[in-house]
Amino acid sequence: MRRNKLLPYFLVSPYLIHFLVFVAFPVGFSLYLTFNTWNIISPMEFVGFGNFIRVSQDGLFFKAIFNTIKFLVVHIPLQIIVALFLAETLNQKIKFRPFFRGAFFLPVVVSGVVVSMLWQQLYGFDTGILNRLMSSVGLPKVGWLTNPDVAMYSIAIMATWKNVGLYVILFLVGLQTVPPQYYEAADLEGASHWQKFRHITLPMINPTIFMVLILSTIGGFSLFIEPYIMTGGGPLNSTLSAVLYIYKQAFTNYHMGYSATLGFFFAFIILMVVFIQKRFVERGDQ
Amino acid sequence: MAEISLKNIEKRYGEKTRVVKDVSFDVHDKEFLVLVGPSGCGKSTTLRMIAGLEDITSGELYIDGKLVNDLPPKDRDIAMVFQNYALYPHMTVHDNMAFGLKLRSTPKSEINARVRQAAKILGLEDLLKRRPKALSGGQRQRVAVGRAIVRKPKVFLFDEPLSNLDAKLRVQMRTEISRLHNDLEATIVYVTHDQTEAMTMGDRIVILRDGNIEQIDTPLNVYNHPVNKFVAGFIGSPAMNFVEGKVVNQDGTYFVSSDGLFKLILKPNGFPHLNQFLDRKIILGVRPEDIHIGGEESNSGFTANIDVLEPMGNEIFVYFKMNDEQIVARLPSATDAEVGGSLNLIFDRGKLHFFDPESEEVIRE
Repeated sequence: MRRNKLLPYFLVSPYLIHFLVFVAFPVGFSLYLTFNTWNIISPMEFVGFGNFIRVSQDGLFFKAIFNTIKFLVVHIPLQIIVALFLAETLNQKIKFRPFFRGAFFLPVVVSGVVVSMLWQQLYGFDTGILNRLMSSVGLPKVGWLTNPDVAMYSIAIMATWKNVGLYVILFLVGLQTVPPQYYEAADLEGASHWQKFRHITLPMINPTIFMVLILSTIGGFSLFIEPYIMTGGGPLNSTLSAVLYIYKQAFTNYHMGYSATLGFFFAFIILMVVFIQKRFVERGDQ
Repeated sequence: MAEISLKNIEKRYGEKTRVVKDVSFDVHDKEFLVLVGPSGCGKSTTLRMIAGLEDITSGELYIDGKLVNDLPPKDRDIAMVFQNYALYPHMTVHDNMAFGLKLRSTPKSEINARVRQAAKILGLEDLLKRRPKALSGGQRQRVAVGRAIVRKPKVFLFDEPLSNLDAKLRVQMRTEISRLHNDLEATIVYVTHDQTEAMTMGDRIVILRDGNIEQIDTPLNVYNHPVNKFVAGFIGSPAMNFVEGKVVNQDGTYFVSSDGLFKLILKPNGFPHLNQFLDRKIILGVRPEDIHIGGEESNSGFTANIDVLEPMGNEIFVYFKMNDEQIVARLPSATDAEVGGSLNLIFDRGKLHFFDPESEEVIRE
């Protein structure tokens, strides 16, 4: 009898333990941290709303958010347009279709560190292939990662290359759910390729577009590996992303309490953005 | 004015798969032509080749005397109604119907006028602002037809348009499409697997099997004079009964069923064309409504042991066996019959069909 009472708890315990240790405790602990200062070594010190007041006065954090937005503004549209274009192309009857589908997905499964280091080479000012190509056709060299005005966009292009395969797959799924009769009916009506895309494909895959928008927004906000490896946030903090700044506060400056506060603040911003996107897309859907 | 002419049309996938084999027929101006056959007979493929949605492997397709083999669908001036309607879910009824005209940069006032006119013909005026999702199956069907008629094309193609509707609605839409054909004086090619639709709607019927044309004729001619056993069995519901047997000469010429239990006198009155089949196998075909009550053994009547009864209200289907094959007779509902009992029946000698068992072709008089 007693054993029977415990058995269900035992069976769900792997999930419960995982949830408690890796989700509930960190969230609870970081919430607690937001009201304290702590450098890991010394004991914690209660500061009340001190961390929150500090956030509101931290110019560098807002620069990091601005940098992240700069990244998103390039990354998200580029990602959606390129992914949609590739998916539409890969949905046609072209030669070596399975090969291309696999090839475009490859960067997604390769480690972000590896990709970042590769692109660091491509973007190199003196030795990088990009600049050598540009020099060979008489164009001036570009400081892909060294010019503060350009660096973030360079990272955005790289991140698009890395992630686009995933979104190509999502769009392919969306495209394949469009019944072929819609296109046949449009063929008979005299629609051009572009008209079919504009009037049939786009509206029919609207839910997929929304999903990709949300996923790439959340993914983009968590930009970290690329600037961490390639630029360390420089030059002049121009590629300092919000998550990279939070990381630096925690593990370079050991401001655990402040870092946790920044984390909550940033999570709240992401929530708001996604909420607005959802409202916007749902209204467009009606 | 629109005529379609198919000359030796073939459709192959790869070397071996021949879906449509050497098909030739003409569709006359303002004609309602029905392509009918079991699934996989190539009827939809033929229609799609006319539409331009499938390439023609070989042969020639003419619309109004113009070779259109390589003409894209939009330049053939045809409209098609699909089996699943293919209405755009994100557009209203009005926009669905207006889509083709919009693409052709028709002036807005004319688009609206044409859509309104089509909506009036089809009784869709109150539904123009709705999305397809908010329509019933029959209403969607009408919108699909409406989308076709606003363009005023030369030719209408229908690909099994009624097969997604329930039985009652199907009957109603059948008459509506026939009425539309008369009103619009349009040339229509209509594909169906349902022989009732073919019989009731078509001016002429093309019966296809395995990519070959079996017969082209008016519904009544196909029904009364099928050219082979396949057509005879395909057209008509319940289907024609077939009895295998032999032609024998025993004090007169008789048809005797394979089990020897049924004997039908052929001579002296009629059937001289069966002489060549003396002592050879032959297949007798008789439609359920050509089996009647009465008759005596001397007059080729026979006794049927009833297996199953299907009362339809206005008539009754009586099932019995001959040569161990099921035979059905269509008798008046007042017939006094019960399962396990027997009935004296007789075949209508004026309406018998005989088929060569090897070629399955009808034996002509």
